[in-house]
Amino acid sequence: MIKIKGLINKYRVSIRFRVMLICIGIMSVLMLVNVYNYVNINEMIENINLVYVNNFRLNELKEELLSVQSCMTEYLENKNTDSMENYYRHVQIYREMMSELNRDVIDGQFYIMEKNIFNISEAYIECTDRAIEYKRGRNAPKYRMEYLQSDKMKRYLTSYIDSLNNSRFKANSDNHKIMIDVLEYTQKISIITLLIVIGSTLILIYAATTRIMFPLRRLAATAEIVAGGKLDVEPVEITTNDEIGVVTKAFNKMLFSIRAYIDKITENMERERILQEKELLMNTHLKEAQLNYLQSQINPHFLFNTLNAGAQLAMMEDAGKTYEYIQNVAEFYRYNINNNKIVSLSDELEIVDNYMYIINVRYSGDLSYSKDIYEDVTSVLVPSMILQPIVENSVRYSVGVVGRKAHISISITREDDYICIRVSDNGKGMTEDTINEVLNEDRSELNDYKHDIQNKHGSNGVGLKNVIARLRLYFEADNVMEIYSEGSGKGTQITVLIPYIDC
Amino acid sequence: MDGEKKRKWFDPFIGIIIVISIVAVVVTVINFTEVRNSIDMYCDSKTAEQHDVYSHHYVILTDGNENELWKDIYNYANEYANVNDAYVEKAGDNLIEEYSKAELMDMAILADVDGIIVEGDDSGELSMLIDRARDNDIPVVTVMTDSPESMRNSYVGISGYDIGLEFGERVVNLADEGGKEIHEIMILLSKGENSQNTMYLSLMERLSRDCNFDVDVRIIDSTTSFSADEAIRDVLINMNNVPDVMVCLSDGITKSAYQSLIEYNKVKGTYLLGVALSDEVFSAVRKGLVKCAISVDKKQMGINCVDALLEYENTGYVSEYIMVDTTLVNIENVGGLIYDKNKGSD
Repeated sequence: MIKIKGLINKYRVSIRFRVMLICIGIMSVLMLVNVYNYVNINEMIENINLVYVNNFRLNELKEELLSVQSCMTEYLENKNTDSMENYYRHVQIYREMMSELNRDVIDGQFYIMEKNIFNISEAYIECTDRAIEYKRGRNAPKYRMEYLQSDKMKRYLTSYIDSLNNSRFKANSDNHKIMIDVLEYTQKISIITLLIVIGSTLILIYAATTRIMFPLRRLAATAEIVAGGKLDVEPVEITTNDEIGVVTKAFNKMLFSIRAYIDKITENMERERILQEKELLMNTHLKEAQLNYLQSQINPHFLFNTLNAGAQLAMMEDAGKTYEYIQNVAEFYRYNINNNKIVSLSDELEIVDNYMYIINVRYSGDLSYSKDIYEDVTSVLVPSMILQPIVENSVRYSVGVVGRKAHISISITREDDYICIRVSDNGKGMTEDTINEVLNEDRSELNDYKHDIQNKHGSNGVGLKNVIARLRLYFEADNVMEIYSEGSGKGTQITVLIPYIDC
Repeated sequence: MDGEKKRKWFDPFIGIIIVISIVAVVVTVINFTEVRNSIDMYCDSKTAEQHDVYSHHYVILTDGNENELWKDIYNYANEYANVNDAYVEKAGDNLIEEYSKAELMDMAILADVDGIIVEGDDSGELSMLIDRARDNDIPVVTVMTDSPESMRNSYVGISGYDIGLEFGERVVNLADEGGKEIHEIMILLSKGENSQNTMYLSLMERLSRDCNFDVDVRIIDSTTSFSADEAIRDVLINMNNVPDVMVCLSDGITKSAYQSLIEYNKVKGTYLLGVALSDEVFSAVRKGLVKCAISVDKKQMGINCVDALLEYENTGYVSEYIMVDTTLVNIENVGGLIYDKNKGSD
């Protein structure tokens, strides 16, 4: 059984084949049982029919005996050829019928009687033959004597045959009754057997179809769970190699593919969401910076035009320094108005130059300013307005320190994979807490940033935090700025770290 | 997991169903086989080979096939014959017509049997048939009564002379016992029975030694049915005084005699002596209705008949007279004899 099951599983056996196999098996069993019952009952009926056969034969034997006697008598009376021919024909038939009789000494009255009938018949035929011969020889006393003898033997024989027939009929009647009873019993047994076999086969059909359909029902149950939206289910076990096995395998593959596809879509959506969020934050930062700036510079266009008019006036009045000052201020504002999001590092340095010029005019040349630029990196693109707020912060911390001329220096170097932009001053320096407050601002929290912007709104610059936030967003790095101050009155050094990408 | 696998491979419910089906099929097959065998058994045409086959076919011919004596003798004879590869047929037993002993003898000769056992008589017809059988090389043994004039090969029977002497001795003893005076003795014998004549003669010889007895001899014609019974009644009715002793020389006469004595209430006045071959006479002895009786060993008689035929078959010679033992049955030993008889028939 296990071997057959193994073979069925090993080789692909279709459900149709299995169902056909079951049907053929059951039909074969039913057919065999029916054929077996039919053959047996048929044989019994044949046997029952044979019961009276010996009675028929004995009747025929007696008829033939009487015919022999009649023909002999007729010949003895008339001596015609027809009678003689008939006599020999009947003797021949009678002999043939005699040959069916028992001749052995067998224990049983029927057999002994048959033996006696046979032997007396032999004697009888010899007697009749002699009578015929004597008749032909015209020996009247002899054939008369033989006739009487044969008549006596015929009487014995008819008595024997009748007795045997009678005894056999009695026994056969009893046997026939018993056989009929047995046949009825057999028919009942056949019906009961057939019912048992039918019942068993029905149960086997139920069991077999349940077994065939079990994987399909399991698959259907799992499919229903999946259809309900729960994809996190165990793969359906494949127990057969038929169509259901193939479908189950395909279902498992499909389930796996759907799960992988959904994971991929979720990942892409997450990535897109992060990108959108980043872009939104970027724009927000820029807008906020510009807004802050514009708010602080009321109507820069008007101011810019006014400054241009002032510069024209200064040139006409030959006031060269005034012209230069106004020109620098105008350049500074133009840079802002251009609203470029990404600019080169040289542009940033240029706006810092303009700023420093303006600031120097304001503070009557109290600020000294120096630059040490590594020219190879000035073409690097950076978010706009990142240097000016830092320089503005340094200016604010440097100016007003008693007994010391304020100095701002800018150096741009390349260190390993970074471009380092250092803005140093010799001002009052920054406390540790202030540095930490500036650097540890959470860059991802947009709302906090807005809050921060609002808090700093009253200050003159767009603020270091704004710069840090935008650098972090743009370069996707945390470490974008370092602030170093040795302490009060010892100045501050702010370093901007830009990842260097070799073009 | 293993449990699940086991459950998959073996479902007890299905297993039980399969076992029940197999058992049902096996039982049906066995049942059918048994039924077929039993039907074959009843289908006579197919069962010849199931019977025993013998080499010799003997026939036993008697005057009274239904007589218990002959039934017993036949059974013993056939039983012994079967052991010795022979079968004994009781002639006329299955024929719907009744035939005389002579006709049955004629049939047996025509049927070319291997041997005939016949209850002999004095008739010339039977002697002639016995001679014809011998002419046809069929050995013939007479039993119980002889056909002395025939060419029969052997006679198996009792010694009438000895039995007659034994009866005489019993009568004398009864007289000597002095319980009752015995003067009148009636002897009842069948008509035409040679052996009884011998018994009668020897009985008379013994009684003649004592002259005190009046002996009355009555010959009963038992050739036709019921004639013996009627004849004995006639004797008893017509007598003024019942005899002191009645000696019956055959089993049939003994039965009729004691029945008549009971009917006419004359049991106490008469001692009845007879021949005990049937159960009725044995029973009568036990009840005291018959004083004593001579019994024949039927088994020995049946065996000796077959033995004589077999011996002749084998050697071509056999003793002309084979005597069978007799026993005196009286109230003392009848119980044991009935027990032995029943035991033997079991």
